[in-house]
Amino acid sequence: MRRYLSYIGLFIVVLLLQVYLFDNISLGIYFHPLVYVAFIILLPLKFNHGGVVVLSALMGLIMDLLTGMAGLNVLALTTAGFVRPMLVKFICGYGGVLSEPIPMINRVTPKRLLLYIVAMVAVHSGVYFLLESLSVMHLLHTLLRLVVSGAVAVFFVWIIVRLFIDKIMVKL
Amino acid sequence: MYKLIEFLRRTYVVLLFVLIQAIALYVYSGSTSYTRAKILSQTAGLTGGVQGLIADVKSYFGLSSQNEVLARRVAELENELDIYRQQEAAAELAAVTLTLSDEESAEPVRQYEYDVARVISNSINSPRNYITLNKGTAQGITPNMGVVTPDGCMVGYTIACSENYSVVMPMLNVDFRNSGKLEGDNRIGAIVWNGVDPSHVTMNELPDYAQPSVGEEVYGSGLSHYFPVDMKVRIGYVESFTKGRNQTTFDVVVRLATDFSSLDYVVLVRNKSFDEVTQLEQSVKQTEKK
Repeated sequence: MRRYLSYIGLFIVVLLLQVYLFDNISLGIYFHPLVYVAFIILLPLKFNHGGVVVLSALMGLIMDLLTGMAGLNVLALTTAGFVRPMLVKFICGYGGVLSEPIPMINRVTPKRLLLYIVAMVAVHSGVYFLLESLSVMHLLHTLLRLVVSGAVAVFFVWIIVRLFIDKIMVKL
Repeated sequence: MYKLIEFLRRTYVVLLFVLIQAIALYVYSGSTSYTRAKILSQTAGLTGGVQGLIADVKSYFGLSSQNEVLARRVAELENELDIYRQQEAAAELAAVTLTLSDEESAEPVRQYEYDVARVISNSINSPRNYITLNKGTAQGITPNMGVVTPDGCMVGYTIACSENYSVVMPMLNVDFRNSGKLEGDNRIGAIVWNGVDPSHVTMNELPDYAQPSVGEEVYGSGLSHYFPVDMKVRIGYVESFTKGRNQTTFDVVVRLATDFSSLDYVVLVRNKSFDEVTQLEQSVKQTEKK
């Protein structure tokens, strides 16, 4: 029960952080970190694939309603949720935590964890920014946006992931 | 049948993913600035309270600069008022010798009305930014009202309203459409934002007779009906200009006068004749098409 509550809490916290904090930082077009992907990243590694896709769509839908993006968040987050098992298998598979009986994200080595976060943020932010601009003319700007906002998002997602693992997961 | 169930069991995640993506893509590709603003204005009821609190905190730290802007604006308005007072005094003097008819002395009907609202949500980090204001239809705000800063710089125009909130299409939105002109010249160019630089817009297709110069002020043309024609709504300053593709126009890079990252209070302008004028224009265009 506490496990479910902690994930519901995480869902709400990352949504609020995105809507009220990160979407309100006015530092220009290149600074738009999308940190709410942290929720999908932190779901149990062996979580049902269909469940991840549904939760991604649900979170994307709520984000779309709160930010008026009309489907963009669903498209980006569902893509990240869909490729997640492949990324987990690729990054944590061989000799990694997936070979353990109950793979836990807190047992993933820092290097692999960072790689996993970078890959998830890249997929999510990549789809989001490419679809948002929908312009070949601004491809260079979109790539720069992806690099800058992606790097900032990785930094904050890393903090959220570490806080969740160190402060919440250890108590479960 | 068993094979079908087995197939669905093995591929349901892919099918689910494709279905969700197809629906989302359909909705996203069919959405316009208006539909997005409509969603924002409807959900502002959920987020508006907290956004308002955040705006309060931001506003507290920006009070001194806001006061300065307002004081400057008060001084400008005092100057304007003084001109009207002088005109009124002259009219009274003239009344001694002239008898005005009832019709002439009747108070003129005001075409424009003004209101003030607070920015509770604003972004500059997307190609399609929107601004949410803390007033809606219940407070008399309607779509198609012009929005300026307290010191008269252009912000945008309202495009959707809920009961207590309004959403503004700012200049920093690639779908923003308006026209501008150089100070002292009536030739107009199209104001567009490239979706990248939040401190510049471009005034395209300005006829080359206009002869822009660096540092010259750029104002709204007033032809969009959002603002009074004689109201000087500042857009910004000419930073550079190049000849357009057809060599008979200029593409002018304009440094914005409005700092979109620190908007707090804004002034809304309602043109009471907006619907009448735009409908008339539309009907003429439709007649021409036929």
